[in-house]
Amino acid sequence: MPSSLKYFLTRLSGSLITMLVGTIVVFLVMKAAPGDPALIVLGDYATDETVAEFNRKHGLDAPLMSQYLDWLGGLIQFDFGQSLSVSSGENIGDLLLYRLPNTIFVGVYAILIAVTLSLVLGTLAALNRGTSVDTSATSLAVLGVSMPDFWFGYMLILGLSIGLGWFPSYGFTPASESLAGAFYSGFLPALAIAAPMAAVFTRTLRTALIENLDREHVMVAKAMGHSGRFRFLHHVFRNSLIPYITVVGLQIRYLLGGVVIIERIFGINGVGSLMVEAAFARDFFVVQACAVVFLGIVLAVNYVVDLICAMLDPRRVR
Amino acid sequence: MTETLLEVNDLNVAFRLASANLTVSSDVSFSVDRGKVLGLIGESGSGKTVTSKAILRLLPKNASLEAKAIRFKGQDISTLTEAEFNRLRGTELAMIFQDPAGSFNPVKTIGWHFRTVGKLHRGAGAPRAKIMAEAKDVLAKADIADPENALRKYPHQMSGGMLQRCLIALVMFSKPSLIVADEPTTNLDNLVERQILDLFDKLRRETDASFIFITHDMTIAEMISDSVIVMYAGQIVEQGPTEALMRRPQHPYTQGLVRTARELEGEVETLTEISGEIGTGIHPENRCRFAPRCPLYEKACDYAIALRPVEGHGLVRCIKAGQSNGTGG
Amino acid sequence: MKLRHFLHNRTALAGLTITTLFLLAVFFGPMLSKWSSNQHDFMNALQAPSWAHPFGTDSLGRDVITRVLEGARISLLISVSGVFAAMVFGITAGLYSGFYGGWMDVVVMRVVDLLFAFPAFVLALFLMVALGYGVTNVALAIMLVYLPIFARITRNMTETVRNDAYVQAAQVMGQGVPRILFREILPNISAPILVQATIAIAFGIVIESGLSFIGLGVQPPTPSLGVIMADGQEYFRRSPWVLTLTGLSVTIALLGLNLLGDGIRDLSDPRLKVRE
Repeated sequence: MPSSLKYFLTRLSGSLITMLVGTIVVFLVMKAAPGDPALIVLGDYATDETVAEFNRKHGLDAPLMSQYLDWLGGLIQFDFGQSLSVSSGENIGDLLLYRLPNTIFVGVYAILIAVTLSLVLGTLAALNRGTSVDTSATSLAVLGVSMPDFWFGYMLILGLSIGLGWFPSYGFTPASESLAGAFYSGFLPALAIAAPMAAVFTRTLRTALIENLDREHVMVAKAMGHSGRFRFLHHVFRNSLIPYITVVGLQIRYLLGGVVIIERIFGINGVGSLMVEAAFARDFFVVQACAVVFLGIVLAVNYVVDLICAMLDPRRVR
Repeated sequence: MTETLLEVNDLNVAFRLASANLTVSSDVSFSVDRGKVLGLIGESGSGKTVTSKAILRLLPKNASLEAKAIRFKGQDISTLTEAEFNRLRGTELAMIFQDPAGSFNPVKTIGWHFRTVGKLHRGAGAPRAKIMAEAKDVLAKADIADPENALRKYPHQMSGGMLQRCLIALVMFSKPSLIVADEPTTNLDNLVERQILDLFDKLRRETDASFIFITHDMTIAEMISDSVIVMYAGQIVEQGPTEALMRRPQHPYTQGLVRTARELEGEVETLTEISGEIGTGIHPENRCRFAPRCPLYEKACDYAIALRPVEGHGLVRCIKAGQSNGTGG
Repeated sequence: MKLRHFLHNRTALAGLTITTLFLLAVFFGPMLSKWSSNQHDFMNALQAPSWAHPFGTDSLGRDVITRVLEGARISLLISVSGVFAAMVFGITAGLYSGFYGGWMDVVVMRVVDLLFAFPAFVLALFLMVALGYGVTNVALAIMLVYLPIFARITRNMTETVRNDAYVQAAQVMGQGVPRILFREILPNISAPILVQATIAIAFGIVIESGLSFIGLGVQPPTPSLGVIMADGQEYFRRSPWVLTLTGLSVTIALLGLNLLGDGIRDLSDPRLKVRE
């Protein structure tokens, strides 16, 4: 195992360095942003004393370096400081702990929908290459990537909620209250986020399957007498999983982007809607905390995807 | 004493393309005796690979296959359903391909390939330990020095020569009666090619399996086969016992091949001596297909020419065969 | 890539047709319309689609299709300038890091990895907070989202052709590095970059609409597509056509761009490409 262990550790250190540099960049950009946190909270007519008092309380009078290190030290213990304006004085860590599960639930739900749809459509398209089934699936996929997700969300509301009355158009029941309720109330938002992803996944899977169907080892397996089912599962599909899962990992970036708007439209108390609210309130501390959380999620997911791919593809571990 | 294992009768293969139907193999007939090696020779595009893939029904979907009969062990296998036919693959009919690196699933170990093939042909209930023990035996027979280690390896961790040995072992693992080897040494360097050929030679002597050995190299065919078929542009142009064919090739094309092989002493594989290129596959029906490149061309060649027996040889598709000019090298 | 091939590829042709129609409509449509995008008419507020107002009117009685055409021009301009800037910087960085390798490559790729680690929309949102809202900053956000993608593609492609004969020949002839990079290498790796550019412009429009939709991008009264949709969202239940038809227009425009990108990808497939 030494070579694979080394691979995992190299990737891990790479991710951690990116994370570290990311926190520095987030911190510095927020520092450079227009607007003084003290004035945002205290108002434009605050006296110099109250401003100084505020800065001392929040450690904003310290040198930049020590401010950063303080903040970083807090991050490691999931302590992001206190909210300025969006939820004044509240501990940002608590805010996140309350909201993160909702975001993760909706995100995972969306991935499940996208993966299910794409497995069916991608496989059908690849196995019926060149037929009308293939054309329909690929057309659907191009349409999927062309729709702005928030607009699709509204179309779902128009059709399935306002029109047919099957789903609520607003509000979300957290999974901690009712799992079934979360699945029900989260369906439309998850579907809206899933649509463009399903499209990308379908195209990826179709291309990978078609490429692998033509590989020599598939014909060798046929010459050995392996059944069509065996060849598809163990030679074609199995090998196509590697690019497929890689792309699923890469799409996390877009998934979380979609989550931000969709949470807001459907009134889900998640990290995305928190970030938007904080942006409106110019609550710098909350905005940077949310940015760091999203950064962490992307890096963690990418790391896990890397590990899975390394397990699926022995050629990758050198 | 010799028992006919495979008999192919008037095999025709065509590809349906958008523009036309492309005939790649026309009226091919031959037979393979038990325990013998048949060499199938021709340049790329001559239809040799297509012919052999047709026997195992490995052609792509857009290919159409017709044959009067393909008799294997006396039974016409051309009329079998796909499910019935699939039972013959691996256990009776097997194939070894050109590219050993591409023949294995790159994300599975060599051992996985043996295990799945073993389960397939010995039944799901076959004990794994027994399958793996037999796999090690057959790998050792294929001159793999450390079978235990080889089974643990992934394809990308092995050389082309080693992989080809593993593939040969994998094919022998299910003890098929007929093995089609499609240019199994083309992608290997000279030294390794030699070793693999020696391995084939050893296997043919040690087992009672028959081989169809496809190659574009006369020297290889001479070394390994009992009889030879020469294909050109989808037709058999000459066939007969190896020795007679090599000593006195009758067809001008065969003569060219033999001369090239003699001159180069098997060091380089090239057919530049025969000028011109093989046709497109859409051939005029009523003409010798080799005529455009033939040094002996005359008006009489512009008619359909049948494969006919020539004294002391096999069959030849040339009006001049049997005449005095038929002396090679 | 031959024009003849291009016109024979159904995907490319469909993409090109839709994109051309979209561009024509965006640039000439507002001129032909008898309404102006900011012409209020409270007597005719929130009318359903009709011959006079194909997309209906909004809450201020403005003709929606005129606003959409004008908004599309603004959104397209923002997206194109953002993507263009991303291409300029990304391709330059990618060419140099792919050509030289070494520490330069390491630094460029680290920056790329970092930008890649932010969800696209979160990065854009974050920048809007840091830089302030408005047209220029939305374009800047789009640039930062796409810069890493262009840098990475260009770098990888450059690395694969770096040792090709024509590059070495140019070096032997004593051509300067910038000339080799931009005159020799870039034209040879342009196909995948072009594909990415069309897709990027499409997604740039989505980013603009998204930011403006939640109110953190282009600010009213400037009518960008996102602003119009945000507007339509406010009275979505009463008159859904404003948001529906605007979004549908966006979808069709993006469909054109995506098909065009797919078509170019198909055509630049190595099996069809002859380079000698």
